[in-house]
Amino acid sequence: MVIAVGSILSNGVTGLLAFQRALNTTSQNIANVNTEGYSRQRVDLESIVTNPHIRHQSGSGVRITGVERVHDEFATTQMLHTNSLHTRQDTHLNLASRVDYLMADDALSMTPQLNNFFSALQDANGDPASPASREIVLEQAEQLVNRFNGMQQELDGLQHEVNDRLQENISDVNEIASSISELNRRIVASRGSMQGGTPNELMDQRDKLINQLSSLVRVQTSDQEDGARNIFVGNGVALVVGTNVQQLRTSQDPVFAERLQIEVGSNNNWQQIGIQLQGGSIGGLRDFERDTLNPAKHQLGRLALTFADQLNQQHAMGRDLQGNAGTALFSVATPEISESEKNTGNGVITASIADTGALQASDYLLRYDGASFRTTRLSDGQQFNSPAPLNIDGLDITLSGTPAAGDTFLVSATGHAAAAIDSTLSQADLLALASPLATSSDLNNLGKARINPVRVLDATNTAFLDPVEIVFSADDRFDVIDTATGTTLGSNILYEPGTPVQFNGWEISIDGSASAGDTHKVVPDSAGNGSNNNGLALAELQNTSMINGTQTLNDAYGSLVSQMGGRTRTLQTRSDALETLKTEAYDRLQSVQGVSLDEEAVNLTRYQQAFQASAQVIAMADTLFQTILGAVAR
Amino acid sequence: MSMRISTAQLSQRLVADITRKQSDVANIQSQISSGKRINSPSDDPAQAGRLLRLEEASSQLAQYDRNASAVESRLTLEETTLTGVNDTLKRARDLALSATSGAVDDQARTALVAELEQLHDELYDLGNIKDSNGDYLFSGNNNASRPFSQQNPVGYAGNDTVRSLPIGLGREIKTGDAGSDVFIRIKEGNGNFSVASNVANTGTGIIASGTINDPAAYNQGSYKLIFTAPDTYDIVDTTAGATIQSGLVFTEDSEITFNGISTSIQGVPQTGDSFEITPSGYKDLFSTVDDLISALAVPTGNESDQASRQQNVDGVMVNIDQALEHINTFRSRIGSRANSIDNSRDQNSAVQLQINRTQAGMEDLDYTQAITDLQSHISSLEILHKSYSRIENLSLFNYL
Repeated sequence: MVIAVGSILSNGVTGLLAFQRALNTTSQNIANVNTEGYSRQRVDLESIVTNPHIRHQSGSGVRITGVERVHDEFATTQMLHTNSLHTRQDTHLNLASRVDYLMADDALSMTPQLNNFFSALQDANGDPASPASREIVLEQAEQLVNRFNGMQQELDGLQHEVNDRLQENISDVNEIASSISELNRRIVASRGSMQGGTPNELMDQRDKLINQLSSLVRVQTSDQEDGARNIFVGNGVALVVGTNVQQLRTSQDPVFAERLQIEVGSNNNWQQIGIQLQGGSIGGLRDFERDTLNPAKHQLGRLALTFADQLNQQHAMGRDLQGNAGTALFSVATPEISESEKNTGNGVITASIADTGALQASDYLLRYDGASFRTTRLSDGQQFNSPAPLNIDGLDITLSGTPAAGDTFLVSATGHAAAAIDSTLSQADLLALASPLATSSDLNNLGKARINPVRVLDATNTAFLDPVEIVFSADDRFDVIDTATGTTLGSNILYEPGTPVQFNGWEISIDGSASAGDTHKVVPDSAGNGSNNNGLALAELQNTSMINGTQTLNDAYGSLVSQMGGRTRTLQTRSDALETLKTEAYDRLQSVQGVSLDEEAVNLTRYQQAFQASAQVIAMADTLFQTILGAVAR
Repeated sequence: MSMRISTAQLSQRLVADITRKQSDVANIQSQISSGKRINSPSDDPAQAGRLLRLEEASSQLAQYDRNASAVESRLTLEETTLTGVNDTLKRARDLALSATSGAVDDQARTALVAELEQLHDELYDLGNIKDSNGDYLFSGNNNASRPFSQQNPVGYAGNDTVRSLPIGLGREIKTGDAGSDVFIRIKEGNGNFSVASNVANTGTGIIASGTINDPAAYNQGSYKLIFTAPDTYDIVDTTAGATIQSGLVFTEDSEITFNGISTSIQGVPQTGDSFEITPSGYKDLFSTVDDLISALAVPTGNESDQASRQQNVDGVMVNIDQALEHINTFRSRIGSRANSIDNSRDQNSAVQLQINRTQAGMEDLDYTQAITDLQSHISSLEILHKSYSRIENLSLFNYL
């Protein structure tokens, strides 16, 4: 029976120790109720069986088999997944909504300034010789150019921000990676020393870091038997394997000078991983750069380029107050060519714009395969297989020298055009609003027919400014004579009132009944400064579908705004949906691993009572001993 | 089985709910303060693009109105000027009429000539008038060139073209008329042909300005009536140099018709006298007044001289009538242009109204709806606040 008393005592002691430990765990849980990433812990108790072969054996108390970290692997994976999806959309959304605001901001938007410019032009058409109204046109042209430049600056600023944030994010990834590998080392080591126990706090810390990593990039994990956790980012790039870490770094993109590329590796062995790095804020930054920023820049650039070129073309058809043909109103950007740093051949690509009306808002990537070029339009991935020279989308691309297989070139006509546009007219009297040709009907004509103003078709025609006489040989027939060269441009032409005829790069029509012998003239004009013919043609460009032949300037800007607004809206919807998913995953995880104070209050009471009871058991055993000792002593 | 809720989760959920509600309230609040449903393109991407197009259309309509006003002020000036021309010509016609009455002697005619010279200068002043921008109104597009210089026929330094301005979508209107059209391209005579007596005539015959009585037979030829005797004449086609009719008997004041032409001769022609009929060319109205002055400046002279003067004054009167009609045609054209400006204005403002309505429908906030929404968001936010304080106090530890 002595054994029995001793066993009561030892049972009490095991209980006392176990519940002390349990109380300790509960207090740890309570203390960490607000600790992010903390997993509540649970004490696993087990009764001690001494010898199963002894009859009437009641066991030797209780022992703690472990302090378990309550955890749900599936919920954790879900959390990582939804977190990186959500941060990706949210990062993109944040930046895209700034573009969204930018485009519609009254102080930045192109629409009001395009309206102002064309209004100024119309006002000048009402009084074309007035220096004041001409000055206003130049002023508004300057302001319009400033808006183009300003908008491009804002977009370039966003590109800088993307690059800065990318660099920060990459350095965060590296920091987290090395912390995880350190934690892996400590976890493996402590598991060895704990003999089956788990270093809960270290694992919590590691989970927390992995969760932070999932905000930066998509993360996948796999566990090693020794307790180390391997980390893969993006599409399976091994970042941490056991205690080995691979570093990420950014470097200038070899083709797109303003962008960064991401490389993985260590020391001198780096590999570009580019698009493989998806998800998280890094993925979001890349998405924004590719899907929002780039199209915005190109479309804005195309708008600037087409606007400048089409106005210049029309302006050249007019005459300024000094009697000369209109010079360029705006400077037009020439296409930029860049070649990959890795190119080994000596091929040189040149490009020029043949037709701004056919331009697409895109860059073109040319890759030489050793025999011919494969050209990719980057906005939609459309490929063109043809040898240089190449004529696509209004661009003329030519090659000189010999490229090596694998050499790549980038042709960018629209990417920076909004920054390059500038107003080039220095003086108001150089604004070519007047027609370079005047028409007159001879005062001795007997017929009532009158010649209408000239419509200029091609001011570069060599005979464009030659004086021309239209002489009626009969009431319904006329001859056309270039009086500068004496050439008969047309003879015995049937007169149809109002029907235009074309010579020397211009078009005229005559109205009314004509008489034989009537003469009408088209002569170069340098005095008709009240003429606004070319000004009207310039102003009419506001309503001309010049972008891709389908959109007016404002249409094109309007659809850019709609596109950016639509993208922002889609991202908002997606981000909201993913936030809900993320919250659900978080809830699921929290419901398993989060601390509930009510639960801990119950545990506290439960363990406290058990602890007190164990103490009572010891006291009772002591009394038993005393009783037995008293009986023996007597 | 019900879900286990951790303590942190409970408060985080509440915070998330409150944040969401607060952002709803803030959104509606900003809509209410701007009065607009669309505050950034993403609020309604498709409409945002359309709104920009409407903004452009609206700005163009405003421009059309400004153009219309610019045209109107020029047309008003032109109308006033042409009224002045009309009055001056009428006065000149009155003077011409009074000069032909027998009671007027050389002295009285000198006084008439003095007044006519003044009228003549007045016409030049009217023709060379400048608009409010300092541009000559009647020099076509040669805005800086003084159009009319004193010569006979008048010197014209302007050109034939006049600028137009758009006053509506696809509607352009001329801002005026070239001086050459208004003051110079006036058909002389009866508009088809003009008549004249030979200055060497010795008789008192005066040929009437005549009419076309058969347009189909009129061939725009030049003819001469040559008197072979006081009562006999030939008709010669001077272009072809051929006598087309000869030995015709002359009766004073009786109709002479050939090749669609109808005229008559008053007075008594003498043998060798001739009268010319030529297709009408243009006669600028300054020259018409010049002609009147030089006709009246001739001293009384003999009967033949008087007949010659009468012939000239008659010619001028016909030309003045042509000019008056011509000027009035231009005045009525100005009137119809003013009408089309008014029509355009009406149309533009109707379109503008439509645009405003569409814009309002697209972007204006439905306040009733917005206030209701705001109310409901605010009350749910209040409930969240209340529930937070209740739930926060809910802990078993309160009872331990």
